Amino acid sequence: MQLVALHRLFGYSQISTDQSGTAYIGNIEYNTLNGNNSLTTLSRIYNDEGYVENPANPQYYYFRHDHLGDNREVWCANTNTVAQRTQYYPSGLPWAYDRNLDHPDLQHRKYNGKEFVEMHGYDTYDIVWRQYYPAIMRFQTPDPEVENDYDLSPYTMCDNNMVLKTDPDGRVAIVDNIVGAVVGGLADYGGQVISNYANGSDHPFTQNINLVSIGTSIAVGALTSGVSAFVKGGATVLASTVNNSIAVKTTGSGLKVEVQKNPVNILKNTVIDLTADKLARGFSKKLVGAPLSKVGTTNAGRLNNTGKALVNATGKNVTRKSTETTKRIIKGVAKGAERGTETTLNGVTNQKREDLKKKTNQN
Amino acid sequence: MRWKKTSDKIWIILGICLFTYCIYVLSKRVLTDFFVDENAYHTKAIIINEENVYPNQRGINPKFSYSYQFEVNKRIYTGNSHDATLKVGDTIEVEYYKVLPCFNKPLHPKE
Repeated sequence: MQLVALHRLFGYSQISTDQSGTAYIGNIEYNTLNGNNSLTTLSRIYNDEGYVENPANPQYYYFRHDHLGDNREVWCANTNTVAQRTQYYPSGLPWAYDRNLDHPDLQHRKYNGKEFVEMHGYDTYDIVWRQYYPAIMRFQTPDPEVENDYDLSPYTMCDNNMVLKTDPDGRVAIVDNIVGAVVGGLADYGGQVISNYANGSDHPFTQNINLVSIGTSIAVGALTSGVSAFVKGGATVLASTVNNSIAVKTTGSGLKVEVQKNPVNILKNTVIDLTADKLARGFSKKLVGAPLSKVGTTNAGRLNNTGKALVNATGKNVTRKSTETTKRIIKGVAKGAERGTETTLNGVTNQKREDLKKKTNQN
Repeated sequence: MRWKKTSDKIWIILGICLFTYCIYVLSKRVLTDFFVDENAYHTKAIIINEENVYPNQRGINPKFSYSYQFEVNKRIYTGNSHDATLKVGDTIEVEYYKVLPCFNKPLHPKE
């Protein structure tokens, strides 16, 4: 059976020729009946945002994620209804549900977007390299990269911090908040250096740098990697308000602290900053991040000829692992370019923004 | 669908304008350094009443420096003095590129 053979080639064999079940090739899902090749049908095609079911008469489903990438709701575009709801314990175990209302069996990609394989109570998540058992918050097998971290049990999930971290493939937990803090601080500092340079300063790296702005960017970067969109928006507004209330600037003769005492100015300048930041982010995402993230992949999330050429250029064959790595690199490059563009836009337009604030400030 | 296409076009046009502006601002600084450092002519300029607000201040007691103005071959050119202590009417020494005096900068900027 060619399908199963391909399946095993990628190390994902879950059926045998005498069973019915689900088979996968990459992000494409097939239904098989008694292992009969002629009765195998294409059932779903997944991508990052959802999936399409029954391609002959397509039904489009979209995921609603939370900050960890957990699929909280599945929305059916054809009927404009919520097709599945899932709530989770912090460990990723789905809560008790109303089978008629929440439709838990509609699709099984749930916590972290990983497939939940239910087996008569021994229910585990398929996290690429290992199976994760959320009822005890442990993997069934040790971390294949266990030698890189001696301080933790090799069976732990996300270093025992599943509320803030994610584990994309069962090997290394992603510390989103620390990465977010570093990126946030660097982006703010970079933007200030660019604006100083564009303004003609002879000391763009050291003079006229606003330290409060860098501090709030670090805080927002750390916080917004692990909270809801609502809190993220609140943190951004709060940070902008603080930035427009107090400034600690580097000058040729040391640090200088200044405070904005007029509340109208604080409010007005905060609105100016938030609007300009939103526009810069929108431009960067729409015109740089989104197009770059599609380079090398098809709409269905597979590698196209360009993507395959990229893999071959590194001297490797196109396998599931190299495909995942390539997609991750493309995504990282796109994200980096998007953030860099946003920083540059903010930096270059900063002087005009300050000009507008000065002209509209109340004394 | 039609609105989405129109919206995409607007984003692209605005994006091109913004990127062009960024390239203009950054290249102006790069080219000024390149040309003026390469072949500088010095002259005296007068500080005029045109404010250049410093960036990164978040509108808190915004500091600014006045522009200067000088004349070469009966044409007037301006630039940022980069010195917040100078007042209107003061003089400052500036350097410029002879072929294109629009590339100019103060000889001893304070910041």
